[in-house]
Amino acid sequence: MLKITDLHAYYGPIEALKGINVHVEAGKITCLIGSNGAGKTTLLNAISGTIKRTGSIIVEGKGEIIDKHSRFIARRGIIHVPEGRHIFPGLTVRENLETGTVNWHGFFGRQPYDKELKEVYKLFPRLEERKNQLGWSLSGGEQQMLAIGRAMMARPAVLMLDEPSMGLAPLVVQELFEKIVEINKQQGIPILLVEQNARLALEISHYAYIIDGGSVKLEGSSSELKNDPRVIEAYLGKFAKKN
Amino acid sequence: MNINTIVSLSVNGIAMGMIYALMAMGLILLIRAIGVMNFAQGDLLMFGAFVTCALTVDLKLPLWIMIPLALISFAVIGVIFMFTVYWPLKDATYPTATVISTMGAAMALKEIATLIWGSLPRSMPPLMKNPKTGKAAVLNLFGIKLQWQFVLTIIVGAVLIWLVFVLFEKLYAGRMMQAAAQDKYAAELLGIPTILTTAATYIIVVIMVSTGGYMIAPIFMVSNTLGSLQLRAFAGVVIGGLGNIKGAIIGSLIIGLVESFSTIQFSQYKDAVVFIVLIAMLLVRPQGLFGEKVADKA
Amino acid sequence: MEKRMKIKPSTLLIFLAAAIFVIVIPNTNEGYSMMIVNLGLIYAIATYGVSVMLGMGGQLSFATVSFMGVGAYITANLCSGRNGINMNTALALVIALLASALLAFGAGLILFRLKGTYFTFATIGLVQVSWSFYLSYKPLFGGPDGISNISTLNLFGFSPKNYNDWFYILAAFVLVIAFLVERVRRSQLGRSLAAIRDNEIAAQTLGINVYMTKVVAFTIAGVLAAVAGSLYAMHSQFVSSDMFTYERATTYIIMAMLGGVNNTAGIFVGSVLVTMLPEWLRFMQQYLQLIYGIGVILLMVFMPMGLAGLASGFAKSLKRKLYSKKKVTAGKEGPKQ
Repeated sequence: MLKITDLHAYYGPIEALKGINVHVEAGKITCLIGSNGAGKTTLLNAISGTIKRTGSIIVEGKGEIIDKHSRFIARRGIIHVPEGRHIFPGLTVRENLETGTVNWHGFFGRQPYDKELKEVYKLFPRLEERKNQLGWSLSGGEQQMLAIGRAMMARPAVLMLDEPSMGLAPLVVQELFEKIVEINKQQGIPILLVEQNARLALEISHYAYIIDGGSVKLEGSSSELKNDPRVIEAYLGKFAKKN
Repeated sequence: MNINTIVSLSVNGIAMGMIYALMAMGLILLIRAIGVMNFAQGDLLMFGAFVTCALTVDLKLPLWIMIPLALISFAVIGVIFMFTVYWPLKDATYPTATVISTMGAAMALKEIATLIWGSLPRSMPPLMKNPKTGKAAVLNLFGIKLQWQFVLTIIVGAVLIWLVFVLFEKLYAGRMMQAAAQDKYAAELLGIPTILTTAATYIIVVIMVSTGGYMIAPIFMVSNTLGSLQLRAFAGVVIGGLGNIKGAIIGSLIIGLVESFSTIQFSQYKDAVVFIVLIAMLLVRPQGLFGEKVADKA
Repeated sequence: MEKRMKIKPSTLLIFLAAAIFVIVIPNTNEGYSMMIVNLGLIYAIATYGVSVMLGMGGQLSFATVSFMGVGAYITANLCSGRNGINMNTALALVIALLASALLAFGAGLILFRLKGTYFTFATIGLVQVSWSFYLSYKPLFGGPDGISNISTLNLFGFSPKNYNDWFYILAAFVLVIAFLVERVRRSQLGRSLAAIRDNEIAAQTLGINVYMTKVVAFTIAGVLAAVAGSLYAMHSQFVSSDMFTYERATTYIIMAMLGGVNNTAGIFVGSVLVTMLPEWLRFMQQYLQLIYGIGVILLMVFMPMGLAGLASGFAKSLKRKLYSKKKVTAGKEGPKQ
């Protein structure tokens, strides 16, 4: 679905990604784990076009996006739910969800989005309860659901989630991850999940990449990697060696 | 002080307040969309007044041609302003730099107006003239005589403000613009064209402010000192409270009324009165009339 | 443990330039052109106030002109025979200093109840109020005609006889004030202000009393402005309200930004340059404001740190070039060319 080859990414003069090869398979949940500063968020930013990058990112059926501006990447259905949620604080829940439709609705379009809205409310009933509440007044967990719901409104071809568990209580995270699995199972949307919570990420994903220092150190099916001693070591951070 | 004076001063005050409100609302829209405090707001009003004066007096265009031409000019000015003053400093690490850049823009605008139209103040005919006397038309309201220009200013100002609210709240595009203003990063990731929304915001602001200039031109005479009116708008923004648009509008109307009524006693110290009220307000209620809100609609 | 006084080459350079300035200028100027230079020095004193508030503390304030007025009008009223008083001007300067400190402190207490943009708007309000009174209240401020016949500086019997004499006096003032401002920058107050400038909330958590620190800085800025105003009154022997408008306030801010808002030497350079520019560019007077306005925009785009920033950037790249050359000739492993 999404084929990333030899991706290099830069923050100014600093090379943050050093030749990444990742394949996000259709219909599957692919996860990216690694310690802080390993390059996980950078990878998503590189895909969604918000930082300088070189290499190749091919979207199945839509072509190369390495040279495209982030607006057009979103229009091709690659939806990045950023770290920290970034919902629109001054808009209501319903309006937030509405903003997700831009990439297919068009600025002056008149197409209805009731169907998509209903599906999101079914997925996250709590959002429907709060549909007229302003974004800033929602709890962390609700904001995360809103961010994902908003991304779902965009009819994503690939959904990219950046650390959805960050700052949330364990029970909320559990509920959230159940929803993520549901999205993938019921709608067959491929998900690229970037997570600090490696255990949960490996539990729900099909395939995993372990990133450190800007390159992929290990990859494999999640069930294998879950039991790999090297990966277990990585939780303790021993994997992040200084060179 | 009779009822005649009170009504007349009130209309006067609300009319001026409308002009300040147009500027104040524009200021807040710009601060929301771009994070920039615009010290050239008054000079945009001045420039708008000159442009409409040129279209009306020099080219003698009838209203139905002048209005669309004026709107197009305002849009062009807005885009040019955005690209010369805001765009180069978009990623600036030093936010004050952008503010000071707008100060430079204010000076430049003043000078450009002087170079094009000379330094002498120009007079602009009022929108409605009395066919018999040829002077400004006067409305006779239950025996109280009011200048039609003031009344029209209130009407036009209110309609314009209402239109902008409708745009932002009722139109899909307007809500997208709000989103882009609240979180540019997230908006880009969803495919919202933030350059367009920012440009649109600038265009709307210039149109609002320039229309204000057009409406008061017959009252004040068009000169390059009109820019100083922005200081009243600043006061309106502060009184209204921290970035709240409805507050800024009400604050501006209050400022207009205070200014108008202060001419009874303190004509010379009009400026002082207005700003003493501002400072007094700050002592009593620093968060302004409508207090602190994270963000509100439009 | 010994504490060595590190003298940087840049400091030496600055002192050298200052020495050259003080020697050359009075010998090549007199009369009108000397007066302009003097004005540049006077404005520099006020601009140092801007530097403390904006450069160190990150707060944009327009109040400079309000307090210049305080200093100017106190001096004018006490030293011109008005109201029957004709006091020694040096004494008046001290009174102005004390009065402005009190007023600035009080104003600061009120104004800093606001933050950021809204504080700035409020200082504009202050300027409008003070200007309105300076313009209209004849008894104290002489109305639109201002106050004239102000005596010149009388310091222990010594009075400047011409603008060249004034130059040395003003240069001394500027030097002392520059030195003091630099001391403040490196002091606890200066560091607290820097913390507030960079992240107000973080500064608060570090235990800094953000409110009072800002008020103190505002007071210092106000006093400096008042000193400038007082000296202006003595130097020009005439004061009127056009010196204290909102537009003039923007000039001081631009002077600060041009030189380098947080650089002591830069402030001086910026002030003198901005003052002299209209004279040098007299031949294109028509376009002066336009060039000025566009210049400000360009300045912010390309040199927001002012000339000082430019100079330090230049110095850094120079150092890099020299340094890397040394490494290669010493035969050690250096960066590949």
